[in-house]
Amino acid sequence: MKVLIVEDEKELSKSIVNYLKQEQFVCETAECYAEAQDKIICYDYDCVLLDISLPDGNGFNLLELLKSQKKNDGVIIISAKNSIDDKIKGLTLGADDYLSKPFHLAELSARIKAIIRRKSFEGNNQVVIGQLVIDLNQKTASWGQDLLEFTRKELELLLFLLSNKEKVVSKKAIAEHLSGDNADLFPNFDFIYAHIKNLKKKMAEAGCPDYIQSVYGLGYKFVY
Amino acid sequence: MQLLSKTVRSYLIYCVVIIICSIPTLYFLLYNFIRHESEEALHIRKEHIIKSTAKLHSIRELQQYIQFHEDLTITPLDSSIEKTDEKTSKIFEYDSISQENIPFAIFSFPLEFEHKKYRIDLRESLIEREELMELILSIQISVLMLLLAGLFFINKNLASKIWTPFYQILEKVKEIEVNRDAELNLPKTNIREFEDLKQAILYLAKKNRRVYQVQKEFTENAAHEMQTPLAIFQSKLELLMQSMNLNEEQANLIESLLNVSQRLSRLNRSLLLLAKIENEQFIEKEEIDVCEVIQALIGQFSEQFRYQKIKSDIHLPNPIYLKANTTLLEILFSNLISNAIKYNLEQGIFLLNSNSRNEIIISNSGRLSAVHSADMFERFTKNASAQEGIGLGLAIVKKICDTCHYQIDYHFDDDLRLHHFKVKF
Repeated sequence: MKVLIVEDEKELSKSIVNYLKQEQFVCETAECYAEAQDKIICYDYDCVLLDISLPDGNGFNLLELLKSQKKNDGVIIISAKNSIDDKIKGLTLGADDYLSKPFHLAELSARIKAIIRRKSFEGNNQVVIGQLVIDLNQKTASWGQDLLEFTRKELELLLFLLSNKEKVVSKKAIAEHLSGDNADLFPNFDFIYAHIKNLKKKMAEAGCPDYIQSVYGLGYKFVY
Repeated sequence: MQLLSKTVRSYLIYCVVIIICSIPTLYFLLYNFIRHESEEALHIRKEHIIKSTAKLHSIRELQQYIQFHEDLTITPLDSSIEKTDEKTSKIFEYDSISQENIPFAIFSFPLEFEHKKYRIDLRESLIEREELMELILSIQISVLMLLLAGLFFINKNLASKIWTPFYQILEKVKEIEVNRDAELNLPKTNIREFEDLKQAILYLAKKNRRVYQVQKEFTENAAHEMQTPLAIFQSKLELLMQSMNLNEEQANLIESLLNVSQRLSRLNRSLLLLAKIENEQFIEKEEIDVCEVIQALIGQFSEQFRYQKIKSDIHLPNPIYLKANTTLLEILFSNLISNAIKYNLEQGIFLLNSNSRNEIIISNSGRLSAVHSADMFERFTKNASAQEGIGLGLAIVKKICDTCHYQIDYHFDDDLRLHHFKVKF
């Protein structure tokens, strides 16, 4: 799967490449408008990460270019502005998602995967890890023949960890993924611990191996 | 008070004072002048009578002379007793033709005729004199009145005409909004002062817009410049987290750094939000029901309520319709509600009520008793026991209330041990 990262901040795009590379993504980067323009015209990508403010141009124009070329690339706008106007503009122009800086790499990775899944498995939107199947349309999970009775949050959590398989996902990233801006309101991350505990318990009851590891106090990791 | 009525009032007061003073003055001046003139006339008459009587030869002729002149009466004087001087007195006599009392002046003077003393009374009607005075006065009063009325109307009309461009400019200035780019269309005027005013306003408006633009750009730049390094910092930490053979000590260090980066980015977001509200960048307004907005927010907080086992009671019986910016209202109430959750106790109380006076009251139990309410809405005065807060939540609330002209009050109820925040629209 090919991802183009259009970001003028070298260090940030290096981090993104570094993180995504470990998940069998082929990453290319463009640091300026002209370079991004060339790459968008010449190649097809599964997903394009687009920074709005580039030194020599506006990311929205690149988005328009993509759409005018009738390409099927998924687009995630990453912007430092976090303004509602920009968000609406981006989404109306045909972007698939909008992420404001700073973001968690785990969140970015999960969103890229969600977009690619939506684009490539038209209709049949499933995540399969061995015998563990998550049906994203039905919002259900099953282990072999058994249906796992997860709550909505538990399912979201499992999918998030799965999207960052073999990676340590910080509790903060999980909290924000599950509650958005309200994550700040929880006095601590015990609620994540509670969700993880339930998740593990339900999976164990169905005979599913213990895929979820705790990494000290830092976070959790899905190990397959 | 209107500028116009102020000038007109000064004119009016001046005119009234002049009239009030001038009428009696004029009356007395005229009165004295006429009296003086008529006395002079009487004296001339007296000289004439004395001269005429000197030519007479007998007392009989004198009596004839007196009878011949209707306005004269003669009284013989007992020379030893009475001593007469000239004197003037005023009497009223009934006149049967005009059926009213008519004033007369009686001028008496002594006359010696054939070694006998007589007193001559010279009678002169004062009616012409008084009528003349009345006429002159009434003409005077009407002229003054006319003058006053004319002055008033001319001033009013002229002034309102002259000030028209000023009021037009004023109306336009009231409509100025720095965040709108529309050019100011100020009316043309041929009065130099107003033209100067117009130029000054145009210059100010232009400068204001420019400052606003720069500030807005700064806000956006600040966001960009701060968020990007933060994003890099956070991404590097996440990569570091993935490194193999991480020991517990390292993991703790990374976690602390992650927390710090979160706090920094939240702080940055809040400061930017404050700047945006200060810049009044939330201008689109629509008719909304505040209660509906709050209900939707409460839904979003349900998990936090459940998690802290907070007993909540929401009582919003009547809709409160407002013309307001939805985003601002959402930020306002989400800050107040999240505050009430953040500083609440485990199994605490959360109450949300509206009343018919367009007020919304949010009450919560808390770890602290009364907070000094004056500092409450200042930036960075946070509750020492709550490390999670960054001290900007209530500053944002206050800022929103100030820009939207809502009133926010805080008080602590000692009996129920509840903190109350009241927003009045």
